[in-house]
Order: sequence, then C-alpha cells, then structure tokens
Amino acid sequence: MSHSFAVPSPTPTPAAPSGIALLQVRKDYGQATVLHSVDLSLKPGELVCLLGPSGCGKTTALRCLAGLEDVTSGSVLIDGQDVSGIPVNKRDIGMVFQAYSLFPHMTVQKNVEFGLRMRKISASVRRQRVAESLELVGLSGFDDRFAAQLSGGQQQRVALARALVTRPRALLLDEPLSALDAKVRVRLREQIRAIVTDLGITTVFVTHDQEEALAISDRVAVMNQGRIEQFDTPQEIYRHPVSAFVADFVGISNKLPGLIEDDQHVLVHGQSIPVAKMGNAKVGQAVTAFVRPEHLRILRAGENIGPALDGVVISSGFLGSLRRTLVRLAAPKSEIAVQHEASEEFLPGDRVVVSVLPVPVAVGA
Amino acid sequence: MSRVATPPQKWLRRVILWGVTLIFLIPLFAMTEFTLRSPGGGYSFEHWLALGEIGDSRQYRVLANGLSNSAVLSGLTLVLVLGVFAPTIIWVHLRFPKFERILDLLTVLPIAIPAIALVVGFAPIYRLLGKSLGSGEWTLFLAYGVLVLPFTYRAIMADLQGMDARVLSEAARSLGATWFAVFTRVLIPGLRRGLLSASLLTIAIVMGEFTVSSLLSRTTFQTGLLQISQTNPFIAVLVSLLSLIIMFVLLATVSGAGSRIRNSKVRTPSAKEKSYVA
Ligand SMILES: Nc1ncnc2c1ncn2[C@@H]1O[C@H](COP(=O)(O)OP(=O)(O)OP(=O)(O)O)[C@@H](O)[C@H]1O
Ligand SMILES: [Mg+2]
Repeated sequence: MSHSFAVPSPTPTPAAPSGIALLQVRKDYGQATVLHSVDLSLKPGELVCLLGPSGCGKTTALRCLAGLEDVTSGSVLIDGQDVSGIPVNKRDIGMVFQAYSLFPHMTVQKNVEFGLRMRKISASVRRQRVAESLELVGLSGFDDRFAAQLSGGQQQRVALARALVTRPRALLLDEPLSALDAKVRVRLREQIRAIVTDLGITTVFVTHDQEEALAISDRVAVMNQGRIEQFDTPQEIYRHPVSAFVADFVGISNKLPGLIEDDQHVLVHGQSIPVAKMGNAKVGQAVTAFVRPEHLRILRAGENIGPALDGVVISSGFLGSLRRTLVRLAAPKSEIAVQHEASEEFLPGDRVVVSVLPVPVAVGA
Repeated sequence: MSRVATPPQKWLRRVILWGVTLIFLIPLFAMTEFTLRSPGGGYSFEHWLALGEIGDSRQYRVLANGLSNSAVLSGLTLVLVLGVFAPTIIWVHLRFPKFERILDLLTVLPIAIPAIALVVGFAPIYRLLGKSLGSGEWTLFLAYGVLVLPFTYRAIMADLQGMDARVLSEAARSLGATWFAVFTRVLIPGLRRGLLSASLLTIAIVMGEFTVSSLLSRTTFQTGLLQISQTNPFIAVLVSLLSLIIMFVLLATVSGAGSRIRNSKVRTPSAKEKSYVA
C-alpha cells in the first residue's frame, strides 16, 4: 500500500542513481571559515544524519548541498553529477525546513502541488500525485485546510509531502522536528524513517539531538566546528567514538584520567585499555579517557579481583532492564555513572569498586 | 523597585476617546455648517448643488485641473511604488539583509526632513528635469515617490517580516520555482495586505500634498483648492470636506481590509474539523 507512491511517472526517472556527495567543500563567510573541507558521500537510498552542536555548520552544509549557498571551494554531486553551478530550483531536491514554511495563502492541496505546477505537470496527474503524497504522510482529506488550521506536526508532514511529491533526487531536512513537542517528535521521526526507507530516497537529516540521530540514521556524520569528526553507523559512533568530542557529544561518557601507555593503549587506574584512535597523543602523555557507563563494572567492596577504583554509591536509577548507578570516587575525586544489570541493587552509601572493561575508548587532552 | 504599568481606568479611557473624537469632529462640523450657509442668511443646500457645475464652469477650472493632475500623479506614483519600490524592498530583504538597516534609515529621511527643506533640494533638480522632460505637472511623481517612501516601505516591510518571506521563498525555490514564480505566486499573494496599504497610503498622500507642488508652482488638487478659496470659500471648504471624508474612508479601508484578509486566512476550525486534528 505504501508503495503506491512509486507508481510510474510520466517523466522517467534517471536510470542509476548514485547518491549525493560533498567533496572537499569549504565555505567562508567573509573572514570566517564555516566549513573546512567537508567530505560526505551518501549511498543511494541512505539516510544520513548531520549531528552536531549549535553553530557547527550543519545548516550551512545542507544549504550548500541544496544550492541555497555557493561553496567557496570543492564540489557538490547529486546522482554523480557536479551541480556546483546549478541553482537550487534546477537541482531537483526536496527540502523541509525547521521553520514552518507552508505558503499561508494556499490550501494544503495547492501547497503540495506547487512543485508539480513548477514542472508544468497536468492537472489530472497533479491531483493524483498530491493524493498519493498526502496519503504517504497520513494526511488524506486535509486538502482544503490552510496552514493556520493545522498543528505544528501536521504542517511539517504537509511540508514533507510537498517536498516528496516531485520525486526529488535527494531529500534534505533541516531540524524538521525541533519546533515540535517531544512525543510528536518521536512519532514523526519514525514516520520519516519509514517513508524514506519505503521510497528509497537519499536523505540528509540535520539535527542537534543525538538520540534522534542514533535512532533513525543509516549513518551519522558528527560535526564539530565546521569539520566532520566521525562518519559511521550509529553503533560504531556510539561504541567506538574516535575523538573526545564525539565521545562527549554522543551518549554519556565518564571522563577518567589516563596515561598513554604505548601506541595502542591507555593506562586508566592501573588498567590497560585499548584506544580507538590515537590522534596526536604521545606515549607518556596524561589524557582524559572517555568511558561509557556500560563499559564499567561495579562490584561491592572486597569482591574485586585486580585493579579497581574505590567509591561510594550516591544514587541508583532504574532504566527498565538496566540500572544506572552514580558513584563518587575516592581518588580521583569525581562522580561516574555505571550501567549494570537491574538485578544487582546498590543503595546510597554502599561501598563499591569500579573497574574498566577492556573496550576501546576515545582519548583527549 | 519597578512599577507595573496598569491600563488606565475605564472612565479615563472614555474621556480620552471622546476628547480625541471631538478634536476631529468639531472642525468637520464647523466645515459642514459653513458650507450650508446661505449668502442671504439662513441655511440652504445652494453650495452643494453648485457642485454639479464644477466640470463646466470657468471659475472652477483650476480646481478641476488640479484634481485631474493629482489623479494622474497618484497613478504614476503608484506605478513607481508597486513597480520599483516594492520589488526593490523585497529583493533587499531576501538577498541583501545586510543593507536592510541602511534602507531603514534612508527611508525615514523624507519624514525627518521638513517638506520645505526637501523642496530646496527638489528645485534645482526640477530645473534640470524641465529641460528634458518639460515642466508638466506629471513630473512631480518623482518627488512624490520620495515623500511616500517612508510609509510604503514600512507597510511592505512589516508584512515581509510577518510572513517569513525568506523561508517561504527558499521553500519555493527548492520546489523548482524561478525567481519570477517566487514573486508572482508566493510573495505578492502573501503581501497583498502590505501592498494594498502602501497603495492607499500613496493615494492619500499624493491627493493631500500641498507644500511641494505649491513651492514648485504646479497645479494640483490642494493648490487648486487654495486658489479657489480666494474667490469662492464655500466651494473650497466643501471640496476639502469631501476629500477629507474620502481620505478617511480610504484609510479606514487600509486597516479594515488588512484585518479582514488576516481573519479569512486564520479561519478557526469548526468543531467538526477540530475532531480530525490529531
Ligand atoms: N549568512 C551568514 N553570514 C555569516 N555567518 C554565518 C551565516 N550563516 C551562518 N553563519 C555562521 O556559520 C556558522 C555555522 O552556522 P550554521 O547555521 O550552519 O550552524 P548550525 O550547525 O546549523 O547551527 P544550529 O544548530 O544553531 O542551527 C555559525 O557560526 C554562524 O554564525
Ligand atoms: Mg541550523
């Protein structure tokens, strides 16, 4: 049923789509460099999230892809074609913006068919495609509403229908859910994920919400200060962050002091832990190791064998099948979070020992 | 300690409202009363009936001339506002937001500088223009363009910002619209309220303009009125009264039309429709 959207169109689609890419893209605004040689290649049909803190250049990267900004240097490919000189209206992309962007003087029907009108598609085909597109986003029967008569989530769904109705070569979304409340946000992101999978459309989704990015992406590109720090599957990003920034920004990380032992290991409180990516850390250098709560093991004092950190339980929270316990360490004086089976219970004040599992960690200065 | 501003008492609001209303109404009543006076004493509609001859009587020619000149000038200024100013303002807003502040500042100058001072600047320019364009009344539309700029700029800008024109035009562009289509299908329909206000304000200002046309010795509606008031004060006051009322209706339309357009757009969903909303 959901495949009804992909009925044959009068305009034949290009034979072999080959994804979209930014190649060595640099973007300057006056003196400031906002993007430093960004490389990002998407496979056809892939959903990639651009994830990063505010001001890191996510929107700029997306706008360069769309053609709303010119790149200072580098090139932009859509379906393997260099589109650098092609204006946005000729790039055949679909966009959804953070701000509500439905044309307020048009009905939902007129909004959605706008792109088809621009392509001079006949009225009967337009009607059919609008109906399909609205069905896809679950808004059949809303044709005659105006934007002011729709909820925020509905407006963004219409915007999505409007972007998809032309069957664009790529779908670009700039924080489309950030103006919505939490529940709608989660439901809608699942819906977007499903639609994208269904249509097999190559998609870039900008967000600053790491949970959102991990939940829906095929791959995540973590950005920081105009650079892509890591571009990998959500699992890899979470399990094996390559930099201190990624470890800190994605998920929860405990920051433990460490000493670089050799070119592959860091010594954290007497335990030798593999390092995911050395970067420019030197042997013998003092660093911070970023350790996930689930990569720590907690035991009652006295039960331990081998090196461990002594501490006292501050609090313990129930997370369904798991429990997260906050421990105040004796030395170094700090608090760390440990994740463990829900069956093990610790009470505030319990004396415990914490050891680090030998899972690769990110290190930073 | 900060004081919280409380709205004035109900009775005070009434007093202020009535005071302002009287200030506007008393002159209008006085004018009406004046036009009803009979030369022989008592009241009659004599002067009002004479209005019918304004087109053919020689003594009223200057007024009829002025009126038609002003009408032509309104039209020309309107073309300037809608054909040149509006696209420029929209273009600057969309493509060169950096220059918006400068434009903001530039467009208040015609209010900040008194009309008398403006004329000092206009006069030599019009001497030059006279050589190429002649000294026809219609050339005044260039000066009027300057005079209406502050009002039209603000009317259009307020709407532009209100409708989030940048995002809407980017959305339209991404859907394949050329800049021409962005203007005709998205921006102009979205800005009809601002463009309507700008147009009505332009007409009101041009029809009511006196200083510039008088100092540049052109015959317009207002200079014609002044001239005729020296020979026939009754007809001058009568026509002024009519033009005041027409202007008032025009300006009331500006605010009325605006809110009507808004209301029709933001029709509240009926109970049945509400039940759909997830
Ligand atoms: N038109 C512009 N002129 C100058 N600087 C700009 C312009 N647009 C963006 N910048 C700068 O570029 C940097 C990146 O901006 P961008 O909007 O891409 O960030 P972002 O990652 O999308 O942030 P957010 O999550 O807040 O949307 C910021 O420092 C911003 O100030
Ligand atoms: Mg952004």
